Amino acid sequence: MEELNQSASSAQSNTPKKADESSGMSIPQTRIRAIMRSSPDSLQISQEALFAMSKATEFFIIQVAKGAFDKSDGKSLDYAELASFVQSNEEMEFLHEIIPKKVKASEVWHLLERNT
Amino acid sequence: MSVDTKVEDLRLPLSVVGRLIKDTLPPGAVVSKEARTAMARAAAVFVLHATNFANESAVAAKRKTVTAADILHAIRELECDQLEQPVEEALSGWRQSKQQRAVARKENKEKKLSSPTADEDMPELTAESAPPDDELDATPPSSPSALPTD
Repeated sequence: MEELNQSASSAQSNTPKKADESSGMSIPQTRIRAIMRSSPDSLQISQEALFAMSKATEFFIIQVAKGAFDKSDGKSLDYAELASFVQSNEEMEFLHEIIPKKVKASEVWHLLERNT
Repeated sequence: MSVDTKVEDLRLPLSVVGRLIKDTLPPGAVVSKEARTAMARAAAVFVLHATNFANESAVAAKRKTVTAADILHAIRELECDQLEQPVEEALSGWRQSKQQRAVARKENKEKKLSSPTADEDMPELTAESAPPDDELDATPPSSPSALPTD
């Protein structure tokens, strides 16, 4: 509720800053807009929708990070944990091709040889 | 799609993504660069997918503008149900602060127009309950002392 206090002390001079602008760690809405606009049948995007999408993206990142970290050794978050979390999650199907599990080349060769 | 969109514009800044992850995990946790990059990519794809669903929702409602309701609809379609509540809460906070900003702006304007004597506190009129400020003299300066502080 900082905003309220701010507008109290300086009602005259300036409009209070948005909380998430000042913290400097929110996803830039311009970027979100650019991605949304890149969709082939892009429509107009209301300010509210843009805000909602930015927030959804933030919460998405937080949620995935948490989920993947819970499966890790509790010290670090690596690609491998991220991949296995995404792959083991059916709701994340749309990400299965984006974050595939890494496979060693030798394993692939092995598979290929067996199939031929 | 605008022609001058560069590919870089469609990526999410790694610094922000990294910070978000870091703030989520317990202090001292190490996040590899590869994990950060993959997360940024995943988040961008999330936006794309959600946009598709949101667009569909807007078109189905015969609208040409995507609204917050469409975004929430998309979140449900993506089966990211855990995101729905936090986004809704953030939205209502945003709406409130937007309203307050609008009220404050209006009051500032009116203060400049009218005399600067409207300085006494009128605790009954809070920013939220204030009527559309048509009466010039009844409007106090924003008096957040009267607002519930939580």
